Amino acid sequence: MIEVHDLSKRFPDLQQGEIVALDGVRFNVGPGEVFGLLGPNGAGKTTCLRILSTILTPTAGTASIDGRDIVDDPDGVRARIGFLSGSTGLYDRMTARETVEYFGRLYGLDEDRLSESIERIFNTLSMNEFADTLNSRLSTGMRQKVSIARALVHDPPVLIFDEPTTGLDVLVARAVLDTVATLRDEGKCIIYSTHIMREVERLCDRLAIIHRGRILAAGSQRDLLAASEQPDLEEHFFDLVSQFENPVNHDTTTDTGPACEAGS
Amino acid sequence: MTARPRLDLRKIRIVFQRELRDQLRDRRTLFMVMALPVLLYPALGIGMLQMAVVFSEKPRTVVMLGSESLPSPQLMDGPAFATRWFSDPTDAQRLTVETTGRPNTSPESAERLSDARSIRKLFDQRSELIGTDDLVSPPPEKVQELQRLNELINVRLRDSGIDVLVVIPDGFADSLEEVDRLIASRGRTAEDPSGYPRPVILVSGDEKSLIASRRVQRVFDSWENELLRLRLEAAGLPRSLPSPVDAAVVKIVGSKQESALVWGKLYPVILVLMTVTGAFYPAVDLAAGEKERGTMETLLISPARRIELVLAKFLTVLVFSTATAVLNLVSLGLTATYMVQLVGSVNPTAEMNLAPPPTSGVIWILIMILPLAAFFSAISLALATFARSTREGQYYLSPLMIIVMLLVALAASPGVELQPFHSVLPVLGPILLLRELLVNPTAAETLAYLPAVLGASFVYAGLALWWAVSQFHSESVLFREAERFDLRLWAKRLWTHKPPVPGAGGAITCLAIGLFGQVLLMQPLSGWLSSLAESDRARAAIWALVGQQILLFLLPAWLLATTLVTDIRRTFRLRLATPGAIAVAAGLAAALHPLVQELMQQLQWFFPQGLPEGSQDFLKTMLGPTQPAWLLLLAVALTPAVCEEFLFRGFVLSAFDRPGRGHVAVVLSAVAFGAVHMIPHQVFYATLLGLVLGLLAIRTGSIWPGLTFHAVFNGIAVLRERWDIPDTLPAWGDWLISSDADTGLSYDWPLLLIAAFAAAALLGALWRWPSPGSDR
Repeated sequence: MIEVHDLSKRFPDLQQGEIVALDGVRFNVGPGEVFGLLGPNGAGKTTCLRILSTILTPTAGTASIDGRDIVDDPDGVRARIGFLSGSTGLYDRMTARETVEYFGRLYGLDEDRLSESIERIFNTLSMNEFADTLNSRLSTGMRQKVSIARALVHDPPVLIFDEPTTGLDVLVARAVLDTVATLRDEGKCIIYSTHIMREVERLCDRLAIIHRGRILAAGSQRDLLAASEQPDLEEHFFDLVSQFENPVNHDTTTDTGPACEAGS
Repeated sequence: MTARPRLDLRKIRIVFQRELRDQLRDRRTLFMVMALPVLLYPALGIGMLQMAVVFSEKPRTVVMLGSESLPSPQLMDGPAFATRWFSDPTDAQRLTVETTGRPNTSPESAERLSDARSIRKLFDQRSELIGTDDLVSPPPEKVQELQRLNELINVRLRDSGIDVLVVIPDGFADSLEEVDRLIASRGRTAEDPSGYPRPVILVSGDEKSLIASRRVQRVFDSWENELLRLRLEAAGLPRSLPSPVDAAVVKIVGSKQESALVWGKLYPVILVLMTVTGAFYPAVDLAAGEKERGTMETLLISPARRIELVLAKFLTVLVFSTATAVLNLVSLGLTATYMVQLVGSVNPTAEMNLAPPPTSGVIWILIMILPLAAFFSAISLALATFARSTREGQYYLSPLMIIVMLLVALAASPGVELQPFHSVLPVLGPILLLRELLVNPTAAETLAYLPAVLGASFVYAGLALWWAVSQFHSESVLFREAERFDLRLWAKRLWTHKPPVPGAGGAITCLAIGLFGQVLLMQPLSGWLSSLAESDRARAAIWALVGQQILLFLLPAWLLATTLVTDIRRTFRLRLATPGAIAVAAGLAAALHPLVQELMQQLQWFFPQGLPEGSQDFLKTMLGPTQPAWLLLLAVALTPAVCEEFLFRGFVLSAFDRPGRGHVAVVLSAVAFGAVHMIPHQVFYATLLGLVLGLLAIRTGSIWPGLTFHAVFNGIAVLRERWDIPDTLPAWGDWLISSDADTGLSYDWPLLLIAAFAAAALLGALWRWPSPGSDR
């Protein structure tokens, strides 16, 4: 469903010249799968996901979502994805229902399908209590639910989550994770970026460790652990990052190189 | 690439409806845009009424010395001038006159009178000083003394609270009587009887005192007239003798026209200010606000395309801009009408006959709102999209307002009238047209401008909208984070991280130096030239031209390039050009010259007169046959070719050039090239040629073809002026070129046709020119 080939992104920067935000990234994600993108802040996760959701254009490489190329058919791609990030804002002067209705209409849902979809989602996420409250009066958790509902309203086959639990308390974060798991079980193709190990361990079937715009390792959790000498994923992650930062000092070898492809 | 899908009107409508509802729910916007105008004007009106009651004019103090020497008829009536000397009798109360020799004077008045006497002494000293002095070149110590006395009198007048001091000289009445007696006896004396001392009206520079002194002066004028008439009567002559012509100005204006004049001045100003205000605040909230609140990302990921988002937002801003303008005008109109009626019922003599504009005027106002609102909505939206935050967005309002106010002030100045050139200027065109239409809503010659004004306005709005859309497509604009700016770090980075070619900032710096340098040098240069002997002036001006080009265009570009960028060769496109490219450039210049010449002649009616008569004559002598041809070619052809090409097709074009957006860079550099030419018709044709020159530079990748074009083009212009045609024109050429003693050389249509074909062929060749193998 998601196919990414050698995606690169360079930003012109007035102060530092050129910034390489993404450097030859490639991976595939299939339906019913959660693919984790694990990396520290500034690793290029957000850039990668923004390219996949067509709001940035890649400098090089291609990617397609559900068979649609992100450069040639951005409209088709946007109709097939739901995007949610931790920093997503909501219109303060709209209610939860209005927000979801607005995006549903933009996705071209007719009124019957829209109200049916809203009812289903609001029930699942138990949002009916605050459905007609202005977004500005909602708590952070409620707001994130509205954002999830907004991303799901058109029932997209592909979902892109960019650090969706940032700034949420434990309870709400857990609810978000549960939602992601449910969506996976419904057969959605999900890409999930985070810097939190536990989330990856809990959700992701396969993952890629990304740092400074490059994929350092990719594969299933078990494969990654087997390839490393570390006891858990977190140690492996630190190991990879420090090897990348100080290539001279590293003594262990992994068979997952920088441009490793993770076939599905 | 799949075919571009068409605009989805449904999505535009959905987004538009949401934005509109969102703005209607925003209390700040509603207040600024809707509530303020509705409340503002009535409140202002009430405030003005109250001010009028509270701050009624205080009577001004006039002190008169020597009132006992006043002749008849009676100038004074008690402590004031007699009302008969005022055209408006109520003015008499605005001046209280204090004179000597009146009983029951208050202590303050007595003090003022004694002050007045000492001021009079100072004034006498001053008169003495002036009287004995050589006025043409007074010695410095006398000048100093005079200044001291002036200062002293001024201060004393102000300190003593005397607004106007009238000094009647001693024996003034006797002097007049003496003259009267002479007239009566028809006597002739050897000496002129009019050499007696006259009254003096002394006043300080204070504005209120000046107003009072003008009133006093008018009193003395009408008193003097009466005196004169009495003398004539006494001499048995008709009273009308001094005014044999006495032409009367009879102002015949309908009350509607009068009010139309007032509305015509006021409404366009309000219209412009309110369309800007009404557009700006919603635009900032819709674009910068969306970024700030983190909803921009969500919106961009929705299926609505960016152009659809911009159009929907633009429509929303347009609605608010229009609504604000309409509300303001209605509120202002109603308040003003009511106030006028109120004043009229209180004071029926007051001539304030302000009828509301006629229906046709109202319709024109509503029509002209649209182009203005569209233009300002698009501009505001583009600026607001560029801004990172609403706060930054609001900073952009003041510069926009200042520019708009300048245009409004320009339009309000009486010398600026609706004419072809003005009608296509942004903001100015609609204002001028509306002003005319309010005075005469159906004048055919005014209505003829309507298509041009509307067309030009919508083109500007379209350009601004295109800018807004391109802002929405720019990743660096949409996702630039609010970064902290550190001047020291920034300056350091300029040194340590030099880019290969300059950025937009460098280009703007260079252009600013060129533009402002020209303006700054104008004054000292013309001063220097006029200090020279007449015969040397033309040559000095030519050398000044050469120096100015090098100093303002070439030098800044070169210095900035050597300090700020690493790749000077690429910045100035110093790579060699093929002989073919040079030949195409030279041929294109030769082919385009007659065409441009003809075009400018055809468009002469369109542009306002460029230079004043005197400077045109000077230009003629400067470029005329008195100067050697090599010098003129150096100053007018070669130097500009080198200097302007290095700046505009080198530095500026490289600064604006982005991969895939070369055409934008060509247009921007052409506009900049036009802008430094200052005079409207030169701006126009320099911009046109700038496009060709930009194309030459971009296509050939070298500065030399453009330089050749520039030198050849200007060279032809120089030679054309000097060519003594009637003698040298061969017989075979007279179907190509004709000459006339008055109009000089002109090209005939066969030549123009050949030139047009040649130019088209060469431009075509240039368009398909093989890519120069990018340096990037």
